[in-house]
Amino acid sequence: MPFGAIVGTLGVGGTIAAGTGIVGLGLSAASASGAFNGPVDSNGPTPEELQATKQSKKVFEFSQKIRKPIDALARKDLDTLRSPGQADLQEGNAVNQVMGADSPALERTLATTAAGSGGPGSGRFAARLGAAGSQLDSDVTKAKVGGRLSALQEYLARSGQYVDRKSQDLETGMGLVQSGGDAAASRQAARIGAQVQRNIGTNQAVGQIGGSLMSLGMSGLSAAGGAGGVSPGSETGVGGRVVDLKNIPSAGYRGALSGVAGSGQTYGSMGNIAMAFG
Amino acid sequence: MNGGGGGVPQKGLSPMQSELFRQGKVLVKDYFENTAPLAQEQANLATGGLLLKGMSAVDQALETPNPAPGIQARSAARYGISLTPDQQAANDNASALTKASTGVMVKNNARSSLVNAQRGMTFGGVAA
Repeated sequence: MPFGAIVGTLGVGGTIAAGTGIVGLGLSAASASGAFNGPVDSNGPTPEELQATKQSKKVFEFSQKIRKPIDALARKDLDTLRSPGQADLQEGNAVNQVMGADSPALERTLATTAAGSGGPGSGRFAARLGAAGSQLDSDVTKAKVGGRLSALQEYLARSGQYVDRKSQDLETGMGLVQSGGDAAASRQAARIGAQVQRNIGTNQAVGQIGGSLMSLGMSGLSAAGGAGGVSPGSETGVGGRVVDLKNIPSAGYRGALSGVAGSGQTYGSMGNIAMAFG
Repeated sequence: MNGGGGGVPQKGLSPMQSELFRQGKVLVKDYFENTAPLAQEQANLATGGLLLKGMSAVDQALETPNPAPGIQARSAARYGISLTPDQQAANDNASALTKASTGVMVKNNARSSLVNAQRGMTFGGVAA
């Protein structure tokens, strides 16, 4: 996908997200101020329940509108990162970086050596050329491997972020459904109990939807902001990934790869989801 | 206390509960279609797949042609260097040694990095 198209789409997504976040806040404020007060009807939905249903539907539809383009973009991005072409590209970039830095250095060294070693015909000059060539060969090999591993690492990190965000969405959503189910089970008790208590429950439910959209809105903005470069929390960010290729075979690179584990921590939440289903 | 309906059993879900249930179904469908396969892939990577995939990437990188010898040859041509057979043999030996040792070093480092990353993913909970 052309870079401009990605930025364009993200820009739109971010704007919608921000707008809906405000809607969510508005609903929360309305519910918190007790806008859903009403008389109790034992045989049907209360006015506040009907009101909450309408709002819940509206907010959810908004959230789907925001989610879909961002998720589609993120998945496309992940597919690109996973493709062999992307690994080839990163390898090529890494090699270019090394060649760009090493070739002129090699030329300079050769010129200096030629001037002080009896000229290109001398054995010393030939040895120097051989050593420089070996060094360049070694640097390029490291860069090639580093480029491919970097592509793999980037895919891992972004797919981890993607799964994390979707898991959080599901967890939040299911929590909401769960509290709705609890409300069904305890409906009689709530009716016998205090009207105000039930209102608090409704207010919280609507407030939660607003809150979840707020965070979605923020993630949309984050995604838009990430278009210029790779930024944490935005798996849709595109842009150059600059890796210090000289350090690839060192322990430093190991640390970088291990950093992927950070995204793994989010899977603890997936365990919770499984339990909720059980 | 307003006790209206205290003894009336509820018939079905209220509109809000139905809506929440519908939303839940949408979320679950989306999760199983779009996210679960990716999560499974991550779990597979955390339990050996990353090492396999990473090392095959390393092998692939080592197998693709290296442009460096071309640079070396062009530099030699540019400075008018022609090596004696002994010099050529020494040069070739040095290059082969560099290539072999670089390959071993890169593989060892990559393997160690990948194992560490895998372990991190496992303890992070991906494979749990």
